[in-house]
Amino acid sequence: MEQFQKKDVVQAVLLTDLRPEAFKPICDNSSTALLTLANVPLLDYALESLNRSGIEEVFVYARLHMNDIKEHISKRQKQGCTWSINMSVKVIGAEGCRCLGDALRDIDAKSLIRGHFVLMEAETVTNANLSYFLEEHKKTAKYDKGIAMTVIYKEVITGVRTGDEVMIAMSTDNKRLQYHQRIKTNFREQSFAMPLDIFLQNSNVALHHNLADPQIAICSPLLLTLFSDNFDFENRDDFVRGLIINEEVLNSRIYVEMLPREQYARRVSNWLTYQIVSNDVINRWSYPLVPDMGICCLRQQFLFLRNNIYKHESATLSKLMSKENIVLDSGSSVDTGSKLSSVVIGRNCKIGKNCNLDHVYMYDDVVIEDNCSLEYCLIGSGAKISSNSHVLEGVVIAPKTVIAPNSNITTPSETDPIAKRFSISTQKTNDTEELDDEEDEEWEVGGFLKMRSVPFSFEDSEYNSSTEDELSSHGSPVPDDTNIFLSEVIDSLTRGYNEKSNPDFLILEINSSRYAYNMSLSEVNFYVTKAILSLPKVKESSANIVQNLHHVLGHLGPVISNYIKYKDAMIDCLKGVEDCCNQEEDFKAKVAQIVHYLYDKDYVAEDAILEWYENLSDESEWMKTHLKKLIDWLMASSEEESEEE
Amino acid sequence: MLNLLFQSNTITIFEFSPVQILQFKRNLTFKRQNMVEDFDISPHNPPLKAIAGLIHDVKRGKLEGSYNITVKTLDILKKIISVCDWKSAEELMKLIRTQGKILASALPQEVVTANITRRIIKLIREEYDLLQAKVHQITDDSQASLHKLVTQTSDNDISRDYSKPQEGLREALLDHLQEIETEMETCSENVSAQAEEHIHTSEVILTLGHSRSVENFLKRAVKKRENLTIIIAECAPACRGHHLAANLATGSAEIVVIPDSTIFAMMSRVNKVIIGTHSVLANGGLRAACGAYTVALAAKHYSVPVIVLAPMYKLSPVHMCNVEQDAFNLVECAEGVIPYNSLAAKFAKVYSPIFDYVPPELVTLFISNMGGHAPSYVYRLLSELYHPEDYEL
Repeated sequence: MEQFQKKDVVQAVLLTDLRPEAFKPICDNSSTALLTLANVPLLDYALESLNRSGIEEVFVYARLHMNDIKEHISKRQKQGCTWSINMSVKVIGAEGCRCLGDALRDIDAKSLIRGHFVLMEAETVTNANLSYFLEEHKKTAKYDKGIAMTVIYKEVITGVRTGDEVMIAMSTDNKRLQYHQRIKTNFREQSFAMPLDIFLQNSNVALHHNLADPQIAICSPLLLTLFSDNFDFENRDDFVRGLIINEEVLNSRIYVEMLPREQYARRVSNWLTYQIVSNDVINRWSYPLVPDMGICCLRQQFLFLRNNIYKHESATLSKLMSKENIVLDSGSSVDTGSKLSSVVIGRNCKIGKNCNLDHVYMYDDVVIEDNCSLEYCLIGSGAKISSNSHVLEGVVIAPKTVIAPNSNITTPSETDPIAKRFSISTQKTNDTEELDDEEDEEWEVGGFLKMRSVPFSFEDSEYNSSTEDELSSHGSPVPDDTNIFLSEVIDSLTRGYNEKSNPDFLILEINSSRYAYNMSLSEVNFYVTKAILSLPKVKESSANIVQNLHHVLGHLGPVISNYIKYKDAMIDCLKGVEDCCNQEEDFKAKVAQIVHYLYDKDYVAEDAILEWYENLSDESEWMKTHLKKLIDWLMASSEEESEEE
Repeated sequence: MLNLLFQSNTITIFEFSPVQILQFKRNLTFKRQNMVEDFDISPHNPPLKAIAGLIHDVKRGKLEGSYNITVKTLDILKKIISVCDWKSAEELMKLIRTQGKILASALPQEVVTANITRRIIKLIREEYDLLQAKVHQITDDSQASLHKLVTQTSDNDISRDYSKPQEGLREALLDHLQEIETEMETCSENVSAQAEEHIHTSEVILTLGHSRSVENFLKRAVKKRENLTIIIAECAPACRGHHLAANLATGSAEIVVIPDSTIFAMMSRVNKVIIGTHSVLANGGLRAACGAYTVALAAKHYSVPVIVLAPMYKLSPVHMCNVEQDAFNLVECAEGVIPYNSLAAKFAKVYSPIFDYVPPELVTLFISNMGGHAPSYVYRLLSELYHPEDYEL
């Protein structure tokens, strides 16, 4: 009987600490799951939302700081918080676990999961009704045994990049995920290369570029075996990519669900998303997970006042200049004349007179003295900001830091387009300014987004970037996959040439690389030409380049003639030559000779050369002078030919 | 005189016949075994498991509607009385008061939980007084008189001592709780039975959102009267008015669903406004679904009577001084108003309140299960329902 009942238990796995380095220095000694957002640890948000969705058993997979998490959970259970009702929480973990893949393999080895389950990160804040998605997932699983996962996305505003945004293609008929790419934080992608098969095989395809990935997925038990079988899957993105590419081989599929209105989900993955999610919670997008509803405690202790002010019963808020979006926890006080906007204040904090706080997130026991000005920063517990100080964008102040009066603290690289973050961590010193310089180097962590005002004006750039794209399609940095493809082709050709292996095998090798990286035929032509010109033997000496080329093509000729058959292919080949010459100084003088040699050996036809010559890009303008003679001669010979006829 | 007293005694004894007491005891032992865990009072963990479960169910949305919440709360409080270990009325009152306080602080918007707690405390007081009076008469029959008995029970000036253990209190309470339960079961029917008195043939009725009492009331009216036109304001963003329209559409009446913005335009042709309410405040004002104030003001402008259906358990002895005070209102998810992925969402402050305060002067009549009352009469009903000392839990 008991075993029978256990089968119906709805389970969830919460993963913690997948990116602790993004939250330095606050998370140096504690788990990111215990990072507080609006004065409630993120873990509580996650557990609360699971509880509301009717989950009965949760495994919290702790990578680091397992004891802290265990302690927190047992403390909450003793307090009788809301998520402890009808839900059991178990903390599991292993030291050697590095990533999501390891965790799931470990869970599989322990055979804890008995059915379809929810996989979520502990840093996710959501009010979504996951039980609905779980039911949908089970329905799909009835007719598609190969369902591995249903991923859940939330539509967000475009133009804000936090690292959680994805670009996906899904077939709208069956909601299957066909293409998935994480959108980069630092620059706009010039283009998205999607395999044509997506559009050929599905009658309706929807492309979504405005989605945030809150890292919520409904998973089948199949997922665990897939992770166990494929040791190279490290994180969820690896898994999604691997599954889409090898859909046929693994016989499993990923489905997509969008969160409807009034269901919110975002993940806290860096300080910028921390700031965004904090604001969303204060602005009640995550209702009922808002401070005045008591996020994990039974009692409601916060008063909700006008202008989104959440005041604890025991806090004091004096007459202020202006105030909006404030969370003020127990025992804290704000003195007169201050301006507060989007501020979270922990327990027992003191804020002095005439302060100007904008997007400031405080932990417990923080003291801010009079006339301070703080913007977009986070202050660890017990820190003290002395009077007349300025703390500007993106600064994270470690716990128990003391900032001297009249200091001015900013992030060092304000002009750097890729936002860098640094923080000052000093233990109870009175003169921090001296120490700042020393610690800057030590704490600088590049690549993690800092808090800042989120830019919303983005109407201007959309069209510009696309026109730029057309003009200099080859001048832009080459995307990763094509780079790998090129290097693989060069490797195959070098080996083939050195070992004098059968050209047919080389063609086979190149073709398999082509399918692995999803290259179009014209790209293959282009890169094979480039690869031949980049062979070490060809590059050996610039003086007798043509002679070397002759040597190489003597053997590899069949390879190139296999690809370069028609006029379009020839133009691709010539573009490859053009690109090589643009990159290699040595080749510049020899461009006419190379083209002439290719013409002589009948690799390229004359009309292809002429057309290519007509359409040379601005960058290759210099080539025209080099090629002038050749072209004239070609024109002349063709005229002769026609006359002869 | 003696004879009369004796009679009253026999009557009371008859009320607790040995068979009944046996039944109670059997029930008690059975219940004790089952729920000893749910009603385990430990000093470190004040909310009982059953209470915490109730709060959890309401928060998760599993338990909805003030009627269902009241019934469930009553059920739990009844079990506390029957299962928990208490010796005197004072102890029991303290126990129920703490649990009621926990409910009120966890669900400040659901005032019905506090109301039913107050009612049960009043019941404990009354039963205790009654039993005490009886005990005194038996032991001290030479001085007892009907006059004294009457003056004793209606005398509120002396604060009583409830700490003495009183035999038979548990049974008496459970018996009276049965009465309250029956009242709860029949109250919706009693309210809707008055439909014919207020709705006549070919009238145009306007209502707002979806209230269970209003639905039953109108269903009854549709059955009894012909050619009714019922206009339903949809009550955005939840649009619960659509449910009401769907439920009423089976009858013969003409149903019109209108957006909230056209309430004023439609009001001129309306004969009566009939709305439900979340609760009735001490001054006769309403805490009703958002949009009720619009309806009431429009009705005032066209002098249309506003009839509010409010069963007795919705009457609460609280006054409203300030909209922001004591969590009077509840602001819901911002996405009900504008989508999250809109640009405006990043700059605008979005409020989506679910209640409106309607002042008593805009209400014409309350219809409760006891009949119709004017708003000015609410204070009188309150003093009948609750003991003044329990207004503050």
